[in-house]
Amino acid sequence: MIVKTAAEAKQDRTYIKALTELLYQLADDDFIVAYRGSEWLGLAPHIEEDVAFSSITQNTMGHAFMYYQLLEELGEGEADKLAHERQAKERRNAIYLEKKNGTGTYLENPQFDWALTVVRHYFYEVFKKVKLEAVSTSSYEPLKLVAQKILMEQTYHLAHWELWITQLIHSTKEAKTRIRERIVEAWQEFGDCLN
Amino acid sequence: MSDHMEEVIAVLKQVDDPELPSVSVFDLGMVHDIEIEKYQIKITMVPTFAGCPALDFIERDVKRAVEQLHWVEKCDVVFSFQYPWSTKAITDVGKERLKKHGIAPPPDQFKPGEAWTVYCPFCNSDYTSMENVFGPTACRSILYCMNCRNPFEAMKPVVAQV
Repeated sequence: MIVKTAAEAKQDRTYIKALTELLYQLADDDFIVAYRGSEWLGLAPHIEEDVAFSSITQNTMGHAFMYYQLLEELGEGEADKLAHERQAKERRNAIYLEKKNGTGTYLENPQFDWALTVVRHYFYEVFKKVKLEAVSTSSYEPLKLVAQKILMEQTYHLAHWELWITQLIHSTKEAKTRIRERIVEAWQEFGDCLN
Repeated sequence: MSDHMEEVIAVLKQVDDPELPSVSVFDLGMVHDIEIEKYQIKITMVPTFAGCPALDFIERDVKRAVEQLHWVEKCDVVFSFQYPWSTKAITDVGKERLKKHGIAPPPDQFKPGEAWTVYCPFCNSDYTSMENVFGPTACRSILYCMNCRNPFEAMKPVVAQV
């Protein structure tokens, strides 16, 4: 079965329910990951990382926007409002992705943990690739095309975090320990992303 | 090709990407389709990177430029994901313009996941190093030429995976 337009999708109640649920998960996960990423702007370990991380974050927010646009086409409301005005209980993102970057806030005494960020983003990008490969065969054509487009760009994001995690895990004792602790944590909490 | 179509294409070759001055949206391969219905025009464009913040500016600039043609009443610009953009869509003129701007064009042959060679846009040497895959915009990387000792940028190769 191929569903070409939003109007066609709306004909089948079961289909539209499943489709919007999937879109909210895809959109909200990318949105919250990009949101947490944006909080590192100017705080990343060095300037080249600041350039890279903010570029990845901007692009990931662009991916969330594409999903919100698909939801808008399906009559769920304006993309901007879906992104910014929904209550916490309506959000479909994984709780693990919400976890704060560290103590303090962006403006006041930010004590953020780079190990959490590297591990979280690495896990997330691995998962996102698998999910996108599946969604690239979606019966809903507008979503299929969006997923194929995102896959073309996401490969750079995954490569970036793979590089970080590989380097840190082979680095100093402190780096190894801190990465390992965050991996153990992710192993316990990441299941939520698959749910 | 009709005279009107030629005129519209000539205009599109003059509309630069806001983040790549001197390279037109036409030569970047962003113009997918032009429909002319008497004095009304519809242009379908494909975005380069999904998260590109310049899309609204491009839409505005294209609309404004085409509507300056005296016979045009209205020009609508829409972005579509129906046709995924890849760096293969960049024209030869576009590649030359990128070089003039100090940006190495993407490689002709590229397989995702594999290494690729970037030639310095200034001296054409392949003795270059990648300093940062991510550059000032989503579509660019930062490199350094060991031969002529110049920093430069390059377009990231982006091609379909499935």
